[in-house]
Amino acid sequence: MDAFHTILKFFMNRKTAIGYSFMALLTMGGERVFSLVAFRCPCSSENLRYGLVFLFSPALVLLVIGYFLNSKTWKLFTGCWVNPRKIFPRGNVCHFFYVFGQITLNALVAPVMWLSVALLNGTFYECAMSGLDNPAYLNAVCERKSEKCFGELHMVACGKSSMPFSESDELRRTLQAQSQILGWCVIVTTALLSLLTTCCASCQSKVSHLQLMFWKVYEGTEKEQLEEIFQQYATKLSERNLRCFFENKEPEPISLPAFQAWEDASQLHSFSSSKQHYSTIHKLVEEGQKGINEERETTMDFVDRREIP
Amino acid sequence: MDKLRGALDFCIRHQTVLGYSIVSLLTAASEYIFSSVVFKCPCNSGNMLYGSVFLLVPAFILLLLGYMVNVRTWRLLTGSCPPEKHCDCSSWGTCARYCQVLVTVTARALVAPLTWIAVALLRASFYECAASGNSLIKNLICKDQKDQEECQNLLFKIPCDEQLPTKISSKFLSLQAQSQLIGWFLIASIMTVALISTCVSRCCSPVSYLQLKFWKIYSKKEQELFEIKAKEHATKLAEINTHCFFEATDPAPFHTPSNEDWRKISFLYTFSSQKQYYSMIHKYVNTNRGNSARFQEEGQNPPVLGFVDETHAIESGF
Repeated sequence: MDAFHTILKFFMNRKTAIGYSFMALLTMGGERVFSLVAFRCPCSSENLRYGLVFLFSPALVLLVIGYFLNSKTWKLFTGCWVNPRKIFPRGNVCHFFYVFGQITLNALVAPVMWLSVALLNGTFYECAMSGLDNPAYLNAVCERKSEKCFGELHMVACGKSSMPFSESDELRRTLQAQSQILGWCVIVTTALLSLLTTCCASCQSKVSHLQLMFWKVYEGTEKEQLEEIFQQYATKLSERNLRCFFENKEPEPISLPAFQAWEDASQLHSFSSSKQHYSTIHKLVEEGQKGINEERETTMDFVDRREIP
Repeated sequence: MDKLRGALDFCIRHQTVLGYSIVSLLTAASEYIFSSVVFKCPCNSGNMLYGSVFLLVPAFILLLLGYMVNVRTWRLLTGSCPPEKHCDCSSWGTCARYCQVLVTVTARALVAPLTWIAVALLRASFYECAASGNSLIKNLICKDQKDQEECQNLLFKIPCDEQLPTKISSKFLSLQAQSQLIGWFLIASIMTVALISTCVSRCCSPVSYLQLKFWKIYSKKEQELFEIKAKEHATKLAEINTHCFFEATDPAPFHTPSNEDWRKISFLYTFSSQKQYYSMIHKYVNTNRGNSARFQEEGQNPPVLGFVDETHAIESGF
């Protein structure tokens, strides 16, 4: 049992890396399945449209799923129609765009993985670019080939052109090489950008490294405690209500937070370097309701990322 | 059960070496997958670009990943340039310290990229493709040939055709042999540099062998207890807060370390031979919660004590 706990702890400590690797494997598997089962290049003038749709629509779908699965999206948008002031608070209009930008960056991980895997494979790009009608591009690709290249490039992806095998094979290899170089560029650019943004965010962080670590632990624990206490109070309240219904008695009072208290507790947390509040509930409990309505500063995003959707 | 326990203990004791070996194995495996499944040399004038991209770009990406995963990077950078204070690199000491940590972190991060390059060179397909498009190689091999253009075209086709190398010239080593020689040379030089630098850092170590051993055990223990204590403290604080939220009462006074206390223990560790402190927490606690002048004393940063800052990595960087 002890050994099992040690192994589990080892994996739990690296769950971000394992999560990302799992997502990458899933993307690779999905891309393989798509290109083997579903993708059939039409080998006509429709190549470009077909190839681009297969390349970009799954990326769009993954982006939307990314937005759905991020609990911060729901925290930001719940109740915004009833009270627009919630997402555009007085004096801090950019707050919404800042938070939305963070959510988008998180949701962009899966689409970028899909794009890079699809480009490294080369099938979709090969089909799409063999249908491109741009004369400059055709001149570049068909440089030292026969005249047939200009008219029959779109049939090369299916192997149905009347050009000799060595020529059509070389054309396919050139297109796949372009695709793979583009794929590597996408990966490198993404990696560089994410390293730079993480560095900048870290440098400008108002809290030190160890406090950040404690904060993450606190956030996880608070979420567990909230779930537990929701269960407890929900049980108490529903028991009381049902008992009074069946036994036709007067209900005894149970104290629950007021509507405004729930509203205040649901706001996105922002950090103030003069005080030391690790979450919105912490701030609410120590300062009372009025503390929440003050000017907001930057948001510490991970605090709210894993809240209950 | 006993044997499993024994095996687990062995793994935990040697987890650094095991970790690096696993990283190297994973890199070698993915290089194998890439070169057999994904890599198709175009066999035309794009050979050089294609081959070099496959050889060098994944190495660069692995380097960036190595930086992101290393705890010391984030320990050094977090909070170093907050917007309210103007970050000043004017002090020479701070700059030197940053550079030294950067060099150590880079050395650690270079393991995976160099493994990739070494394995890729040993397998020879990437180098063969890149070299067959390289003008230097072309000048070397084709200088005695009458028809330069024909020779170049033949050279381009080498990665796609197994029989071709013999037709061009038997004077020079085949491209595959060149690649493997370079690969072995790279591995040998990396090993030599690693051995020399470890020797030098151990020679310059201000502490003795047994004390270093004790120190490593202390760091690990401190990290485990820190995690346990942090979880306990966080649980108590979260309990107080959630109960007070539901019952609309005021919270009981509960002491938690202040922002300034956290900042003090997050500094990078410096060694001082007068007083023996095994970590920043130790130093903080023994110098009147960081208020005594001894806390701010400058110390040395011997490379052999780099492991002190590499603990406390729950979810480093992400």
